[in-house]
Amino acid sequence: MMPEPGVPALCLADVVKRFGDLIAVDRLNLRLARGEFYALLGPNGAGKTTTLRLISGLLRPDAGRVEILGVDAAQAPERAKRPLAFVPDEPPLYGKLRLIEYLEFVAGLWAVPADAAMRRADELLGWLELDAARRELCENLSRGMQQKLALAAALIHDPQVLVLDEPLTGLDAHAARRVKDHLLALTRRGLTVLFSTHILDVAEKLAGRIGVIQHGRLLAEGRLDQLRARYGGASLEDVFLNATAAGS
Amino acid sequence: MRLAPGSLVWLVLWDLRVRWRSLGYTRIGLSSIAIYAAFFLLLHGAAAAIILEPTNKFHTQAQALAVLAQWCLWGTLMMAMFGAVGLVRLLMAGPELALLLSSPLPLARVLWSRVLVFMVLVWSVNLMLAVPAADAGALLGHPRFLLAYPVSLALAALVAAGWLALAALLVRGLGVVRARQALWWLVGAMPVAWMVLVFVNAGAGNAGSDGTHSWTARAAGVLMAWPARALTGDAGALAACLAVAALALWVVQRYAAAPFHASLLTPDAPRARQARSARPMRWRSSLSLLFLSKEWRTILREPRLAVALFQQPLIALMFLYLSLQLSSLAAGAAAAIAETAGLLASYLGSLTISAEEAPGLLAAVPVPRARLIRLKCVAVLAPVIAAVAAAALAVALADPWAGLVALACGCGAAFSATAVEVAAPYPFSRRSFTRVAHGRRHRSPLDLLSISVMILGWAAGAWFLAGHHWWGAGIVFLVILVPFWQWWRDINREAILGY
Ligand SMILES: Nc1ncnc2c1ncn2[C@@H]1O[C@H](COP(=O)(O)OP(=O)(O)OP(=O)(O)O)[C@@H](O)[C@H]1O
Ligand SMILES: [Mg+2]
Repeated sequence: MMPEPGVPALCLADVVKRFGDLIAVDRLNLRLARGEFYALLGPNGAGKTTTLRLISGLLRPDAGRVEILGVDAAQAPERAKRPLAFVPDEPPLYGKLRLIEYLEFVAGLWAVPADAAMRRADELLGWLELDAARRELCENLSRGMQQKLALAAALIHDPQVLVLDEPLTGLDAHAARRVKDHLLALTRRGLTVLFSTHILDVAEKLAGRIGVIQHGRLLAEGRLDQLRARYGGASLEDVFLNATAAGS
Repeated sequence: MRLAPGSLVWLVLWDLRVRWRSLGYTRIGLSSIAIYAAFFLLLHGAAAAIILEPTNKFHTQAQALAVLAQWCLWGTLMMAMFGAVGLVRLLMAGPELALLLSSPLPLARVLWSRVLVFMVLVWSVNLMLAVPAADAGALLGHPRFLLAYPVSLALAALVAAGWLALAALLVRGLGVVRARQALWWLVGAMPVAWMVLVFVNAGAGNAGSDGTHSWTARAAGVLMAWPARALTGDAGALAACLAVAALALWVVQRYAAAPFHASLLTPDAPRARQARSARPMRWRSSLSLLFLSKEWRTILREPRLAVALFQQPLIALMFLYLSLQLSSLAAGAAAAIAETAGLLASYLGSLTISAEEAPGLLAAVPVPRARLIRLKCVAVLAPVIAAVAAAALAVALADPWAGLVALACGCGAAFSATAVEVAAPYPFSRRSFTRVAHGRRHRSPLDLLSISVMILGWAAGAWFLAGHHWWGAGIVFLVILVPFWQWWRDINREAILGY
């Protein structure tokens, strides 16, 4: 499915999500062009995870619209989800499945042909250095290996939009570097990445654009130099602290 | 009164509270409490009726006490089997205890607290058996009935000590990992052992009307002799019971500590062998097959779930036992098949549909939710229906009509039990047993009761139909309504599963 040019990869329009009295996401607007690398920052409880879950279809917005490659997620959820991959903050694994069985299951869910899926799995496992553990039960993997496996599962169906919630949790320096490089390479080929993180360094180095949210509202958005100009400070850390201090 | 943090009682209460919460009861509504209280009172009433009933064969106090002693024992034995699952978790699960072990609390105290918790869990079944009888007896002017409290506690302590001793011996003999597996097998095999016991007992019991010819009855008589005497107010017997129980606990606590510690330091699952299969596995892409294998692998590879699965047929034994007494084995078998099918489908349905382990994954999948639920239903129902068909065939060889009834009611029970799960799912996470969904109340006692009644209704329907009592069909007809009622009751069925 190739969308016509000009259609944003991801579009959130006035999205609201309430949990009882708490407004976790408050009229949020986001617009990501294809091939964009976007970082979502915010203090704990700002609503980052909730936003990403709204995009992935795990939650339904109370108001507003979510569009993935121009497809309305509420009206055609299956068509909207097909090009999307989501890696939640907790890797969504089955403890008692072997690593390779898990990949088989995920590939089946996205209807990837068996041969293509097996080939891709071999590539991904090799690249993520999980090859030796392919017959291990998921529950026996270390936290970092689980994170890698979740990433491999997300990439096995060749998504066009990748949504990652704190993707580098638990990864060692080598793996983190490799994942970062790989994601950058993929975005150059047209993959759109939206990720949340607390590691400002990562956001600073990777992200083309950065959004800061607090109390579910978008406080600031733009390239790093734009944010610097607006909030002052030399590093993203200063920008983040200034922006969130002004917001509360 | 404030308990000293870290003290034994504090640990026990803390543990019980966590266990209670992990059942989903974070907040108990007034209506839930009312229903539980009503049920409890009903049990008291039933016990009082049994004690008062003049035509009953135990209308003297001594006979009633003997029956009470029997209840204590059976209750404790039952719990010994079901509770043993808990014991294996209690003793063998490292991660749960990691916090306690990393604290400066003495290991002995941690072990003691675990033993006491296990004892309380074993004893708790008596809330439905011995406690109502004891209270009712005391209220009717026989204060001696209250002795059931210490006696049942002593029995629970003995059972707890027995399992612990066994676990310790296995750890010494086999090493931690294999002992753990052996324990699971043992716990899983308990229902079969129970079944054999019932049949042996029934077979031998037919010889003499009071069952004195059966060796199991005699064994039970020997086992119960002291508790029974203690219940009649024999101070010596009571003291002996308590002393033996305390001694058993002390001995086990003393000698089980080392194996216990060893087991905590060994990870729960042995690492999978790295044996690379030479032939590359051909991947499947049929979603039905993928779900079938995924659901069953995740259940059968988790001993806790697998053992509980194999224990489901236990309840159905009641029907077989009844049928042996009433000498209509075919009807009893049909009822047992329907009951088992319903229980299995209900258990499997709640595991696969409500307790999906990775709802976050399935939520993001480009497959309609309805299709996912259908796939899960197939994964649950296909093996259950196959088992029902096989069992019904065996019954049909003896009595074709009963076989047909067993097939129909077995399928009916399985379908309605799954339908309840689809109509009103109750999301909880399988791994942590904490609920994943927001804003959804846990299943109320009324829901649970209605599901039990529905399955029981199918079993009773099968019983009546197989015996050509046509109004039995009326019962079946009524329980068909339960899934619809559940669906109607389920207020926020939208997007609560997370997928
Ligand atoms: N299922 C839920 N039920 C009720 N409240 C929720 C639920 N999920 C999130 N919240 C609340 O919504 C708010 C936003 O949470 P969210 O998880 O989106 O924050 P976050 O930005 O991801 O934080 P962190 O940086 O800690 O991951 C929090 O106040 C949280 O308590
Ligand atoms: Mg988060």
